Amino acid sequence: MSATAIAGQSGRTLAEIAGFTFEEAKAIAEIGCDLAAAGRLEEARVLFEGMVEMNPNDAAARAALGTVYQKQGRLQDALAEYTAAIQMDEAQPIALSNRGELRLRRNDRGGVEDLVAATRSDPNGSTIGGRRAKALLGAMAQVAAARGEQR
Amino acid sequence: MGATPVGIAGTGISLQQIEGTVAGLDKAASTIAGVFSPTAKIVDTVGSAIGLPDPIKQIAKIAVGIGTGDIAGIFAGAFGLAGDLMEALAATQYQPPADPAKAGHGYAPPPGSPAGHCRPTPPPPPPPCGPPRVDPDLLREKQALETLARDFDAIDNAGGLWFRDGKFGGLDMAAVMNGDFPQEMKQAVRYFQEHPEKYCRMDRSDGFDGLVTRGGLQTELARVNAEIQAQGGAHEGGPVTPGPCVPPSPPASSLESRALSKLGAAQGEVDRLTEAAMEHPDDKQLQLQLQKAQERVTALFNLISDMYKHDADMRKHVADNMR
Repeated sequence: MSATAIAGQSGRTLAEIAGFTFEEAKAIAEIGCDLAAAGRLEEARVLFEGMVEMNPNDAAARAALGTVYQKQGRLQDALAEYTAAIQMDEAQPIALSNRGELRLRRNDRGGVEDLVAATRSDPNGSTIGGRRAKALLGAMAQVAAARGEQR
Repeated sequence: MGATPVGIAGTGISLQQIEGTVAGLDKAASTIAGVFSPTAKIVDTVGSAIGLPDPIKQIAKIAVGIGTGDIAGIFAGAFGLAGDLMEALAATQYQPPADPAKAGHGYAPPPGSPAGHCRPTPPPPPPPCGPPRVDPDLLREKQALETLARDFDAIDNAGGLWFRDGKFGGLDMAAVMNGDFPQEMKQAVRYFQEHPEKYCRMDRSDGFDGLVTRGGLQTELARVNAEIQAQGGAHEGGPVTPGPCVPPSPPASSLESRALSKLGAAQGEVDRLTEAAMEHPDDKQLQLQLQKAQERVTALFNLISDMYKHDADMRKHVADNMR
């Protein structure tokens, strides 16, 4: 039986079984973020997929994996990861802001709600996602106003 | 936050720009008031969220209300307006919840502390005192190396392969820890599990492949013996074998990069085997291969994590000592 299957049956994550701590996860995630920033997306994907495999409950890892998928053009996979992250942590700013943008690109008004939620969950703009959501909403409000003027 | 005397924070859009856009709409706003589409509610929420002043919020509400509801168009327009000023799309960040209990959910508690609590900061190493002595850790490493060298054949075969291949790796080490092997051997293996950077040093003699040869082990033993002698000669073994000159440690990024590359290959193997196993659910050998591949991914994952953790601890100690 595989380790994943054993973990699933025991109700514990692989991380718990293997003694993998949150501090260690953060160290790994930091590497993943650096790799992604350097454009080494395949390596970043492997790392974050590994993290999600180890602990599927880690909303931050799922959101980070979503960003890598998004940059790789795997938009459905990205949306799935963002949605999973938001289900686990409804205030996950990275997942909210990026899902918001993806939804808006598909003419889905719900994207605005995601962007608003991202802005609210990160009122001080401590994440790139939160700052981007805020900037985008500001620009959208102005465009909306300008369109009204044209009419 | 939000609207300031200079505009909407983070957008690069000045308040004057917005007010200029809005000015011509004042009259229209009063006449069209009440003609709101469902989108108006969204804009109201948006306005509150980003801190738009009320008059502008009102105008924006009306503007969208009389619009076509073409949210994608507005979105595209927003990009034209502020796209260049915004930070990168889908920037990868790891942002766990601020609550440590939530953040650590699904992870093992730190060793030596109850679940959900932070590990206490380790005390700084004691200041050096008295005459220089041989680093005790070096002596422990030497002992572990000598044990592994003596029992090399046993550990080589511990992982369950049918024949000895002259190398041992993480699976063999795990088998020793979980199997019926002498305590001394387990201690030696544990030492290298706790010091993955030293394991990597043994591994690099024939390229970094996660496996240690007898030659790699002997080279490392020779290096440790020489270092012990240089520190005061506390080693009690036979003559130091003059080994080949050991090159300095490669930069951490290079080693990590190669480890990551290995991890990528291992993950790919797991993906491939998972697909094959799903197609042939009764193939026991395939299941076994999949299990081994998954264990290898986990082992590599832990190895990389330990490397970085060790590196961070070292940097912290250095910083503490400099204060």
